[in-house]
Amino acid sequence: MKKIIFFILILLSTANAYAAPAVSSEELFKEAEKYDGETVIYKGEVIGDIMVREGFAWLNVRDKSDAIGVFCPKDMAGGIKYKGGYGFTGDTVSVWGVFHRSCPEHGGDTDIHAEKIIIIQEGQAIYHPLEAGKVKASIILPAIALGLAIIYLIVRRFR
Amino acid sequence: MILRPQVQDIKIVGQYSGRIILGLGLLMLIPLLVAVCFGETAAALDFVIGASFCLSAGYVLIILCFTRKELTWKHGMVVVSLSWLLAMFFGAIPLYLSRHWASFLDACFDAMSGFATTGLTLVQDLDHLSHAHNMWRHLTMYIGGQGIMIVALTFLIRGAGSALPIYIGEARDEKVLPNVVQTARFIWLVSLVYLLMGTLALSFTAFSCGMPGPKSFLHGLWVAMAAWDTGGFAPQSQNILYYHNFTFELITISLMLLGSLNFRLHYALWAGKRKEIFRNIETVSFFISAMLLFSLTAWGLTCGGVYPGALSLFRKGFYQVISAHTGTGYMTIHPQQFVRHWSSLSLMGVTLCMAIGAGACSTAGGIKILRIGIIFRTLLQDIKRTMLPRSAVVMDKIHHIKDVVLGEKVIRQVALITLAYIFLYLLGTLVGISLGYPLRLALFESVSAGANVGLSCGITQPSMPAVLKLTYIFQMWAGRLEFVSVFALLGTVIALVRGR
Repeated sequence: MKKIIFFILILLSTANAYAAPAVSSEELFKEAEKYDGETVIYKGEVIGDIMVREGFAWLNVRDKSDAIGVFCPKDMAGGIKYKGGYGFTGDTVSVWGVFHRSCPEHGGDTDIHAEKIIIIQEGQAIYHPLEAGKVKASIILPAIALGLAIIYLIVRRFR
Repeated sequence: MILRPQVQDIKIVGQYSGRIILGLGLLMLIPLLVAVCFGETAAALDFVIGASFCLSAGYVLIILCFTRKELTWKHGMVVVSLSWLLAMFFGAIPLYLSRHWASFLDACFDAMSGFATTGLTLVQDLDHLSHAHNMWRHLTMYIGGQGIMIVALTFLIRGAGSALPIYIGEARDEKVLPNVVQTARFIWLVSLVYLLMGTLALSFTAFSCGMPGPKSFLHGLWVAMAAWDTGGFAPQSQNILYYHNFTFELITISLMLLGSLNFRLHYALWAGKRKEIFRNIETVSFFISAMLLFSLTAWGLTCGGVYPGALSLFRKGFYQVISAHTGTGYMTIHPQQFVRHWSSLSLMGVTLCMAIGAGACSTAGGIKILRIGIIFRTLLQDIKRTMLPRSAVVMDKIHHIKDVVLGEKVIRQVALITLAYIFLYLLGTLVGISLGYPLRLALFESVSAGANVGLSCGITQPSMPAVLKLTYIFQMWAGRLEFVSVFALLGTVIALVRGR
């Protein structure tokens, strides 16, 4: 019976943590002392690259205002498919982990040591359409430049 | 009586400015190539338009102002300051076309920040910017660090007669070699060697810390460009913090320090005079200043209990101090941490580092450590004088490559430029305060812009008032050119309006 109660309590506390609202990067920086060493939920887009180092990985997760480094076991980041860059919107993830205002393990970095990463929304390719105006200008302007270069050569020769 | 410039004067200025714009257009072919290599078609169009626009405008100016007359001193100064403004305007075109900058003013801000090797930025969503545009941002720093006119002297302008005024006009009052064109070529040689070394070291580190091959090379190249040129642009919004790597930070510290050395000192070191580094007034003053100001910053950070140990203090406190003192602006903390976590004492330490700057005739900005060294020596000399009999003659010398006697003329020049910088810093601070920013933050950001550093406490954002953007653009421009050529341009404009 004790074991069942203990299991339910654990389950409830975990569920509570997952149910807790996500903290924004702005809040984390604003109330850094309050959140320092606490477990937080932080949501955002994975940007750049996942940098794997000796069984662990660094990823950078950006919300509306800023990006924060997330440190996690290598396997935890394995499910992330899209990383944000010019060609892609990165996966939107929910990171559940311990926030450090100045991480003693990582030279004072402000980071989150992830205990769980959930992919909320998969990223996608960003389509960069060719604007008609730009295409026209890309044809006309080089032609003008070429014409002017020829005129310059003539002017230089005859003056 | 003010004499109005004649048509011939305008033609000479137009002719040389046209060549600079032409050169800028040709440089845009590099990011265009990057766009083609990485399949960034939409970005490629931005550079086709930008380059064609520059080439067309350049040729129009050259044809309309065709002349075979050489530059005089007066023309040279005007060409320099005008060319920097034109470079800002034309350099901003591909940036604006990318739609990552909210307005053309914002794009101009970043172009000036790049050319002046400042590093303050108004880019939006940097993490999704194309490789081509990132290449252009960092290239502006690499060109601006050596000097737009140094590029022109090396590749576009022939004739030693024209060279000296435009070399001096770009805030380089010391020649490394007797000939200015040779000096320009030496500056390029040193810069390319360190760029190569820096790129290799940073690319390898980025690759070994988990970045994919081609991207680690690009990041290595870009960061090396901006670190050597004490610029401060980075390809990701978190700046150097993005890499979470101590070795990467150490390499950037080395590059920043190398970039902040006087090119004359580089020449002496290349010539085997290694002792020069321990004797030169610049290196000695820099060492003393950096240690004192780091102590001040570290004290503030330790009292506030911001960082847990010596390593953290080094990676956060020392890094920011070196970045500020060399005028780079690379950051291993988030901008708002300056405001929220750092004490006023630490912030003051970094602000003073920025204000002082590093070596004269280097890629760094600010008052310059040589001038600070001379001011302190003069102060000591004056104290000594008060203790000696009136008839005693006191001669003071400094060691800067060779022994130099400190004369009245040198001291006056140093005092004037220092005073001009202080006024420049005050200008931005006053504008900042009048717009409602707190004094310490307004001072910090203003010094960062005026000294071409690029550290930000969060004021520089796309949403900041246009007046402040224009003020910072002016500060970056005047600070980079060290005023003389800016005054020459302002004088010419006045002469055009009011002259006879």
